[in-house]
Amino acid sequence: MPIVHFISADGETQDIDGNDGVSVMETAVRAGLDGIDADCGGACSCATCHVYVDDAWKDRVPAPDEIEEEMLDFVEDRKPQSRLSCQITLEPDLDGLTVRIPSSQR
Amino acid sequence: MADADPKISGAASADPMVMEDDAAALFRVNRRAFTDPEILERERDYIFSTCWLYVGHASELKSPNDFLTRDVGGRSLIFNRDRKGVFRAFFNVCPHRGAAVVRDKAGSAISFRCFYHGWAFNNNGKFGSRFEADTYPEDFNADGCANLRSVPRLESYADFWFVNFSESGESLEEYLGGAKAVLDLIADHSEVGMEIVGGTQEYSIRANWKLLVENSFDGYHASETHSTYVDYLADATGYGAKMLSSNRPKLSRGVGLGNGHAMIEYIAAWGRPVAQWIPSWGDEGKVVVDAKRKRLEELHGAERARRIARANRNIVIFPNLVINDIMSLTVRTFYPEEPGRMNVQGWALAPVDEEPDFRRTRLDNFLEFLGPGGFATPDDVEALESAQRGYRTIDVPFNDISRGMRRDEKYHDDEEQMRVFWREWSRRVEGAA
Repeated sequence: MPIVHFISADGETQDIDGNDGVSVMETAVRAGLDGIDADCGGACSCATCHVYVDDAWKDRVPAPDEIEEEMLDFVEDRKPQSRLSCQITLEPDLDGLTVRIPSSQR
Repeated sequence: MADADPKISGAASADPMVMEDDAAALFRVNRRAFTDPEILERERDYIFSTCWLYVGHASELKSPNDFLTRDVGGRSLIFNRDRKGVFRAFFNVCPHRGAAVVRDKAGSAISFRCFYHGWAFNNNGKFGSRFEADTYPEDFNADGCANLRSVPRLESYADFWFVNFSESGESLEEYLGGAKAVLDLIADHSEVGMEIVGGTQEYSIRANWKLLVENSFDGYHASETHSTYVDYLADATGYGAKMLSSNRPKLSRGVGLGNGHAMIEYIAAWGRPVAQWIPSWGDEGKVVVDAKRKRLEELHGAERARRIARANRNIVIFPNLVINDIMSLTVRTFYPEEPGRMNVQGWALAPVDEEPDFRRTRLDNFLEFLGPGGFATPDDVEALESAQRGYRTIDVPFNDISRGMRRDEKYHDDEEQMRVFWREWSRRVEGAA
């Protein structure tokens, strides 16, 4: 069961148990985490599940596809680490994944 | 209305559907109330668009993000709990083009997505799709036009959730009036809560919906219509001749509960898993039932415990919620697709903490008595459809619902409970108030 560390804009860390095959977004939403609205629920069409993937993990998370790249244009404060968390699916290799929630989504 | 009995005069309309004459102790309903499409239109406007209508039981949405879809009052609805756990009801109609947004009967989802163009919605109703600049004006959803439309009002009492399609009017609790006390009695079947068990019974009847209202608390028809079942039960329960005895039970009453709600209450020889033992349940069953009864007495006192354990009650909460607290506990609702056709939905309700043997007995009864393929419901369906066919014979234009009008205290096999329904129906549909 992979654990995901979510760091809020205020710097607080919450460790949430996820399940393989479930997105980082759904892991956060089902746990009732604030800051990840994910209004579209994982259809990659709202850009409200924006996170910054910790640099230590950038090579281990598969790169965004073209649709996610286009949706990322909607987010505030886009950075090289920006990802839509609905497009990152948990797997055993991602146990310990650390993501930061942008201050615009607090 | 040349055929009308001159003694009987209607309340408001020149061609009244409901005619009551207290002095003569006569109560009649024009059979056109069951067949006329214009009457159904008035019912849609003045009953199904303004009354509180049952949508579901809290136990059907146990966790945040649970949802179900259900037709209520001619509308397709999503009844769900959002991510925070808040109960919500939306019209299951895409604001974009009108397609059904949710096509599953039930499930768990953090959002809903229309299959037509892919418009997506947070399960709190908020529109969740974004498009490149200039696709829509920047303030496109400023007025919420792209969000899922919420049902105007959603309220609950004792875990029974109701919707109202009118923005204004009395609260659910005011509307329920005396029916609240009956819902409290049902809640008291268990100290840890009640739950809907298993799936939904769904079937259609080629009869007007008001015939099922009447039938659902008709204490007069059972031994005649359901003689097959009564005979079977007499054997199966070991009560034999006692079951068939025509002696009036100690408790037998039909009463109004205000605002058109009414019920019948009566003692019967059959078993009740809540706490009435019958010989076929054996000595072990008796030990369990005695313990349940004792606990009910500790919690509620002897008199209320007796009423919970022993009294049967058939309730109609106006216009179309039936709760039959008999052998099993049934929740049933129905809606007219046409004057001569209704769709019915039924569920079994049970104590959350019920013992497996008793749960089985309860569900056996739900299936064998009340189920669409059971002993009783097919009898009722035939009776209702026969009556509906009878209304084509316009030469015989009135139903009689006068039974027991002269009595001060009405019995459960009188027809006062039906008169209560019809008075409210007339007030709303015929403007007799």
